[in-house]
Amino acid sequence: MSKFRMAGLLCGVALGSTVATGVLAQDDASAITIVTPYTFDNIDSCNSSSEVGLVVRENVVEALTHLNAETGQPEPRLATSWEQTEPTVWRIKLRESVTFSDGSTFDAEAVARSIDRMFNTKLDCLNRGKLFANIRLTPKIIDGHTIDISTEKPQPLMPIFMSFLTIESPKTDFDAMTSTPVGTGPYAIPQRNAGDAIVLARQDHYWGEAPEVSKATYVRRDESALRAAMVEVGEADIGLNIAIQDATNPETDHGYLNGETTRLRFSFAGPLADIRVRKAMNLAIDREALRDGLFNQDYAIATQMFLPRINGYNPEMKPWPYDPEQAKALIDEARKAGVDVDAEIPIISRINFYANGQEAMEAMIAMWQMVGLNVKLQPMERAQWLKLVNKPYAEPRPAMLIQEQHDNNSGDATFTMHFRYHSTGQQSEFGDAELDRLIDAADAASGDERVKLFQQANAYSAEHVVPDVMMFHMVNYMRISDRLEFKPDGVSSTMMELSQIKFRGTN
Amino acid sequence: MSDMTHSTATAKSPREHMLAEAFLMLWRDKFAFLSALFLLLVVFAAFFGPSLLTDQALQMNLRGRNAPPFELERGWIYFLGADNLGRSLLARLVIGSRYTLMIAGSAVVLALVAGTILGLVAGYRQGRIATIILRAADILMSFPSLLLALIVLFVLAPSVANVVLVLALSRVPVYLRTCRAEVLEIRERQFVKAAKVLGASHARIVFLHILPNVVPTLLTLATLEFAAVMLSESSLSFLGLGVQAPAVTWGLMVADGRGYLASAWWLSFWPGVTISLTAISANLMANWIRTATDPAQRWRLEKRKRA
Amino acid sequence: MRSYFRQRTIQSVISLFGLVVLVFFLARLTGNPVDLLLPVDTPQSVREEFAARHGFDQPLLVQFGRYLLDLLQLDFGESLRDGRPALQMVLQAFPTTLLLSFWAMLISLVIAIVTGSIAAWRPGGVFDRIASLISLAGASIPNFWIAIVGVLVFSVWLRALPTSGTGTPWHWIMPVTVLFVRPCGVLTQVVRSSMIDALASPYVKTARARGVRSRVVIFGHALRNAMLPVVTVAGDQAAGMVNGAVIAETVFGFPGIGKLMIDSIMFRDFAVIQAAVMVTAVAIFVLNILIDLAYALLDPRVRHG
Repeated sequence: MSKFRMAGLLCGVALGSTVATGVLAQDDASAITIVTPYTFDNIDSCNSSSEVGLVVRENVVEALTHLNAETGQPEPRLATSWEQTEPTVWRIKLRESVTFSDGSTFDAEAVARSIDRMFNTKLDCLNRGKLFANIRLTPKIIDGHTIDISTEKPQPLMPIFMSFLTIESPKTDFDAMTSTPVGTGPYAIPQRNAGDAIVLARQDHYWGEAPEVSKATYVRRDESALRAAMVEVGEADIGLNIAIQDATNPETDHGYLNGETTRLRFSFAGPLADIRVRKAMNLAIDREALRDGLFNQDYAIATQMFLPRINGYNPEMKPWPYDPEQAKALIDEARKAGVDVDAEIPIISRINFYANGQEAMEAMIAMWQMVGLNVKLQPMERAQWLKLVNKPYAEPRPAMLIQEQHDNNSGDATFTMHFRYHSTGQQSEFGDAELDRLIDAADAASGDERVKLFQQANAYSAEHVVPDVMMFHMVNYMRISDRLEFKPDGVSSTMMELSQIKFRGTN
Repeated sequence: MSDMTHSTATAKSPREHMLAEAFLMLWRDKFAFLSALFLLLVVFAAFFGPSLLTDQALQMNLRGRNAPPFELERGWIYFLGADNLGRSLLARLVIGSRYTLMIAGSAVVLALVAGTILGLVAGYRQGRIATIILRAADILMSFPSLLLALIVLFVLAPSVANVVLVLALSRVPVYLRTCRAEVLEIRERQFVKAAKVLGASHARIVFLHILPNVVPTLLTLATLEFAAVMLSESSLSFLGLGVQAPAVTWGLMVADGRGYLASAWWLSFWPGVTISLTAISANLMANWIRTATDPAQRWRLEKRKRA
Repeated sequence: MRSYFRQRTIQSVISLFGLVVLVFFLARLTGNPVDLLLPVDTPQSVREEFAARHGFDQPLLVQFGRYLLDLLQLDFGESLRDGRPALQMVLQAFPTTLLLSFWAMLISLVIAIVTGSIAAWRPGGVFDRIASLISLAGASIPNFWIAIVGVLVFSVWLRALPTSGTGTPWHWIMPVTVLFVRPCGVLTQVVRSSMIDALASPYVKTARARGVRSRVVIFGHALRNAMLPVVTVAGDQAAGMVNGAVIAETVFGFPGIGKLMIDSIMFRDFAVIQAAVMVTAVAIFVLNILIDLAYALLDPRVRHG
């Protein structure tokens, strides 16, 4: 190669590197970039209970209360106090001297309007569908900073519901969703069109302490390896949902329970109608080997469908032991009693459900085959799987196990128990009178009584009904650049409060 | 030469003579020779592999997950490493050869035959039928293959046959259009016009005169498509629409290893390399066949090249 | 010529309509968007309300009729996921894919024609062997490999290129590379194959026999004859770029139409699926018309029916 060519090549490489690194450097030292796999399609405030909450909750829009990450108990946020003045009415005192980032005043009128908007049937508000499908909240303004919320039936969980009521500015279009929500939070979203990158910029009129992060940009990348790489080279500061195999750096990679619990649900048909078979299938699984082999120590073996911080969690319950001999014995017993234990039992898995989900199913199938069960994997695409999961079920319902994952980040067991274990529950496969009674009683109760009843219901279900094969409390990994000081906690899968992010080296 | 050699030479039947000749021609093209050997190996694995290896391939070993390659401590079967359930990659490659060849082979042949027939018709007849065929091809080209796969999956039950159907259907247009383009050109050539003047029937012209000239290009295309089909199958498997466990294909193995490229590269690497080598071998063999059967070209394989 | 255009345009419009009908009805066989958009736990009453609001509870033919009426006013409906007009989303995403494809096809064609022709000059020779091996390897490598390994090598290890995103020309290097490797490999082989035939044709033989020295002349004529299948396959590769671009767009975060189509299909966002298919169909139909014209230009003997 001639000297000129060589020189030209070197110049080109140099120029290239400069441009590349120029692109990589941040122009504002207190701005951060967060990379996620989510599209954040519709970031209207009334969708804040979905993954949209990761962006807007407590950053742009705030809720009336805030659930403590450790205890799950509601704490004041936009509401300063609350009390149940009548069985169906809660009186709430609102924080004073708060303004929205567009200058509007935060008062009882704004709260009432926000609640009404959530129930506006012209809008596809996910909050309404997720939490308030059968609960109608009727606000009544008492004075500038006092509001009553009433319901048809008594709702002891109102303080928890209040943590989902994110309040948006009264100037928000009542009949249309917005791609630029305006709230009382420390950040505002500069004008954007739907589909543009989401940028949060610190606003000056926040009622609380000003956060350190001045600007946050949310970008989307689908591949975990790429998200991990972006944080590694400095193009992003926080990478969400890093796969286990990519979370190899203990300095930057932090695991946290994401509130999801996995299980396999029994349909009570064929051989699965017999409780001995269901118990056997639980005993045949070596959960520790599964966890250590396919996941890792951060994952917790689950005894019930929600985490310890949820009201109604029963700490006395123990995971199933691994006892394949006992499993075989139970199966023999069932066979002698006339149950057709050799019938083929399909294991319905959902494709690309969660990391290593498919492998877990394959491993469990091998374990069941070892105790002599005739199980077969039947993977399904999401739409097909959905048809099986929700009532109304197609009749006759075949015998099968269905792979499921459920997250309860709503603070109370009722969001899980009723759906799955009550005879009228939309995803319930059975009807047990005693369990129904316990759940109904718990639903109606409040305080310690409520907790106790749910705990009883839980224990009863696991011992006397055995409706599922519990697996694990799942973990997400977050890669955090070492220029930030931030640790994820139990609620990091539903919201990421930028005000909790500090920069290393600053006081 | 001596009488001995002469009598020996005439004692060989013409058929044996041809085979020996073919072998020598293959030998003279070392690349084609190696390709033939590799393809034979693959075919052998496809036929006999599953019966020789099943237990070890499907044996799960959670403690040996993602075991790296080139370590002989766990036994020679794990020489290429283990997958994300601890199963031997080498064993799965061997077992996967059967399904892969079956699926990719069928899909390519199906698309080739269908596309060629339709292309011959569209190129030769022209007129309304040709228009309908061509516009139908346009529609098929514009139909997203993922949607096609989902539709087939939902309407018909998921099965190997349906995977082949999806893979073949989306590839028909390229054969159709290439064949048609060739036909458009060839039908204007002197010898075809001459045949027409001499009163040859349409069928005769198409099959005797046009088709043989179209085949070489289509054959090259088919061997290239072979790899494309295997990789399409990989994309389908990644989305969960391809073959399901316990069936294994190389494409499925590549898809499974996608999330591990940074941490366990061997999961995707070996099946990917196998796909490449198979495609390359098929292509080199096709080229060799072309050269050997084309009177104008076979001199390259007959004469010994001097350095 | 003009009547040919008119004919083709009419035919294309009819095909487009056929495609719309096909996609509309077949896509709805694949599942219920209500189920996919709403959380799994959503109660039945909420699902029904959602379905009613978006007209999914109407009989299929009624929905189709309404869709056609809207189409006549160029209203392609709204995305179920974020409410934006479907056509706007598609038209916003299309140029990115078009640009990626343009560069990829250009580089592929240039490399393929040059390499394939030189390889065809001496089949079996050293250049041919090396070129064939490389091009065949390229034609059979999974494109997400190239993408992710590229990021790992060039971004993480060497820190020479950005990992992803669209900002500067440097951001385009890896995505375009991911896109052109396979078509380039395929086209090189097709060029080679056609050129071997063309170079063995009587014209070339006679020219060489008569002592025509100019390689350029021989090449030129042979190339022209060889281009017919090359153009066809190139057209097929270009049409397939939308599918192929999915990986490049997904990994590198390019907001193109391939990614949009995949996302919409996974969520059964019918309005966007239909709009995306139509826009790409128009592009493909136009491409095919151009290719047919190219046939006539390359080989005047070719007539169209």
